[in-house]
Amino acid sequence: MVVGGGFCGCIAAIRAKELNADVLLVDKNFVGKTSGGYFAGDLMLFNEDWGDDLNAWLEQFSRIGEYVADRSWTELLLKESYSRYRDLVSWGIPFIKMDGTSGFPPPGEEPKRILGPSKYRKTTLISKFGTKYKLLILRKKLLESGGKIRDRVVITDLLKQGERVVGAVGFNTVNGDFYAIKAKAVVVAAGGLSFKGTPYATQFDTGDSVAMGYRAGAELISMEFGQYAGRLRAKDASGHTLFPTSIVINAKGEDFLGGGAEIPSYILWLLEVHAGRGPIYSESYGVEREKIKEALNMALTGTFWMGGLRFNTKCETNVPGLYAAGDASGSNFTGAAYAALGSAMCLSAVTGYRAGQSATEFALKAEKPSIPESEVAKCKDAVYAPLMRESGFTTDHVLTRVQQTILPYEVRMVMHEKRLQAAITMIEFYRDHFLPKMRAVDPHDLRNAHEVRNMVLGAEMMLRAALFRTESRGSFYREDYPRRDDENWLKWVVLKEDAGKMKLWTEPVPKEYWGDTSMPYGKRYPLQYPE
Amino acid sequence: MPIEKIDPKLCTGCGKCVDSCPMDVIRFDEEANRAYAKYREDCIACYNCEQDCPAKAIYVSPQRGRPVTPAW
Repeated sequence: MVVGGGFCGCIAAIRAKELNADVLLVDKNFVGKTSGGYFAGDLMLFNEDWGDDLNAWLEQFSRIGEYVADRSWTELLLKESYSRYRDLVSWGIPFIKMDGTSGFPPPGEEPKRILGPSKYRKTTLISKFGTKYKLLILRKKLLESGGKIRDRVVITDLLKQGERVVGAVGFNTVNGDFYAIKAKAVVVAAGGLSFKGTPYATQFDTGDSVAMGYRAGAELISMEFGQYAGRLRAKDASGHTLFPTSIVINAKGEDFLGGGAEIPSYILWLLEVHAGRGPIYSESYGVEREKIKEALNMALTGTFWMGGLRFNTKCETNVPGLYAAGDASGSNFTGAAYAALGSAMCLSAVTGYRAGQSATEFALKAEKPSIPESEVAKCKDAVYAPLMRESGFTTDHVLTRVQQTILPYEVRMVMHEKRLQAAITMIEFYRDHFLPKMRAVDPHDLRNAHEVRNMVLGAEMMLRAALFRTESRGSFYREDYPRRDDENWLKWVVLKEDAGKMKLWTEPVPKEYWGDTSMPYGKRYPLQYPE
Repeated sequence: MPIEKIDPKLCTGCGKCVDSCPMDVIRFDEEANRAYAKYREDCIACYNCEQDCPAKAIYVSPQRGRPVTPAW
């Protein structure tokens, strides 16, 4: 079973089908039109045969990810990107070819590959999908190969038999029907965590993956790191497609980055605003309009979140039978900042394929799950609880409060212990007071109820992990700890549920990923925060 | 609200926009044989429906339904 039918989930299901698994793909929307991947246009593509230098590409991830990137994953992504790209072409997804037309490059022929539109991405190259409807092609491929799809089914929780995950429960968001699905192995590929925030149109990932994983006993890693994105406050309907250039000016007309940054500089834009010199303006790389100067809006992005379910290179989590892939996973391939355009899609392709394969290998040997009816009935009650209440808090109220708590820039972007603590206090209140009294009025609203429940849990993970890391690194900026602390923090933050509490601890980043620690601070970290 | 209208005069009832919505905003009215925005307040203005509608019956406003006021 695969939970989440975006780019990654489809690839996992197709791979499992290739290995003769009996596959069911479930998504709360329509598979083919769902997920952040639907909106993505780029795929990072590496191939040594075309002269790409592996070490140079890896170095970009290390440097921008500020030495907490897991190079074992970065290397896998790069090395397997060509094979996954070939799969996509062979399944009928066109790419932009060297001559600029959309088509199907034969094996070995290089498609058009470009550098991202930023000064700091000096090495990694991206290929461009030749169609907007790549996910519909994957849907067709999966159905043709005998895989099954359930659209519009919201998975709320994983089913367990002892320590092992053996399926999931949920409901149909249109007619409200209950689903209890038994599976020998489950791949969770239901995206990352944003908060339906407004500044960025694709922020619909509600943390379903990390929340259902957490509740099933899975470990999560790097939940403090996130990608922030700027969007121009454009006035027309193409607003979400307008990305700012790295040349930005503040309210006083000053080019405060000095002609474009060498490194990802989103956090510096926010710090300019924080200092009272906002709004800031930029020109855009727009799809429909070019070079428009507009005020910037910043948001915790919905396109990619670094943290997620901790897994090994076989995509196995610490819970038997549970696999993670795509943005649901915490591979750490890009460390503390998003280092390369198209790399999240590359992660989805590589981990989707690996998770589909590993889950199938496990399932083919695993015993058939058996779950007592009483257990299923208990799950069913939990699924419908908000719908059964005759009074209580609206889902809209709880969502609005969560958004107002975590989205403001001074909470999770320019951070401070006191404000993080204050936000945790509020999130705990929503968890303990609002959620048990929240009421849903119909199946659509029941979906909202489960989503906001996941967002509350996800927000708690993000905030606690952020409070735990007492330093700044990459896109992660703590006003009260503005310096990188190489002595204490070349580490990853891991968390899991332990006797009803969220337990956090660190694990060391292997020394070989640390880069040159003898380098002077200013040279090792070209992104300079104010101190 | 971001999704302002699905023009009933232009809508041909093909149902594409129902599948296009990642927020479950649009539902299909079987009796009237046309789509309608049942849960407009949940629209995040991704423009999928507007872009996919072959009859150009849909207009999505860039004004977001849930403004989080920026600090500047």
